[in-house]
Amino acid sequence: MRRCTLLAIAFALLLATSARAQTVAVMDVSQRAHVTANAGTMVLTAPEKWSGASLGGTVLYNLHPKLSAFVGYDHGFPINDVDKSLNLWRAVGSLRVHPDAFVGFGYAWFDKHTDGALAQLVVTKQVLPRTGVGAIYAHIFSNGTIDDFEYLRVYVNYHLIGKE
Amino acid sequence: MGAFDLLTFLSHIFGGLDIPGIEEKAIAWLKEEGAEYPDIQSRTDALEAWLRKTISEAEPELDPATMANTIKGIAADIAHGTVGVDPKAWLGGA
Repeated sequence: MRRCTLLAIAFALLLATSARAQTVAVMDVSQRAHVTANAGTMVLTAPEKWSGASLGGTVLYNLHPKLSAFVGYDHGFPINDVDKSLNLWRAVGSLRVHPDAFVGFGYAWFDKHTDGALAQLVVTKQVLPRTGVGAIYAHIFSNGTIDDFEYLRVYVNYHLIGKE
Repeated sequence: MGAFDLLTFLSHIFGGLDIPGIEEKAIAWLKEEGAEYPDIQSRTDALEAWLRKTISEAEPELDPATMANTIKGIAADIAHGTVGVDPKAWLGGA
């Protein structure tokens, strides 16, 4: 609880500091909101070592030149006849650590049965206007009965809505 | 965001430009003149004009089309970065 309070205070200070230094208001949705769609392939080391194609999207809000938060949904299509389709929801705070890399922390829900805190690394590169390619490695700190597991995805990302 | 963070951020953005020191010059110019261009569009326009002049002087034989495209992207990135937004934030949404 104390750690959460400290994190909340740090986050509020960051917002306050950035708001003072910025011309674009923190609540200026037209400059800061983005919607993306992505397609690719993903692999989970659990449950049941799921793998397949993915199709999804995110709604992202840029809070600071190096900090954003997003909610994402991905639907996974299995590549075999055994696994079921997968629905993945994530809420992530994302910090730019390099022009082509982000570190994110948040929470992930895999269908109804599995969820947990998430730490992810995204490596990405813009290759065309509004189009990027990238790869994600994420570690899921499972909150259920299964052990922690990994989540990998390679994808193409398209910037649907937002200033560029 | 402190000045150091801004310099680091912008120097990354300028990684592909092969004109040594252009980023520092752009930032220094913006520190002096930026107050006159408070919004993204006016700042982008002013930076484009400044970059065009500066790069033309440094690289007079640079292909005009290539230079124009490069300048446009760089100016927009700087303008956004210095008014508090990340123009490439959407890349992290994945």
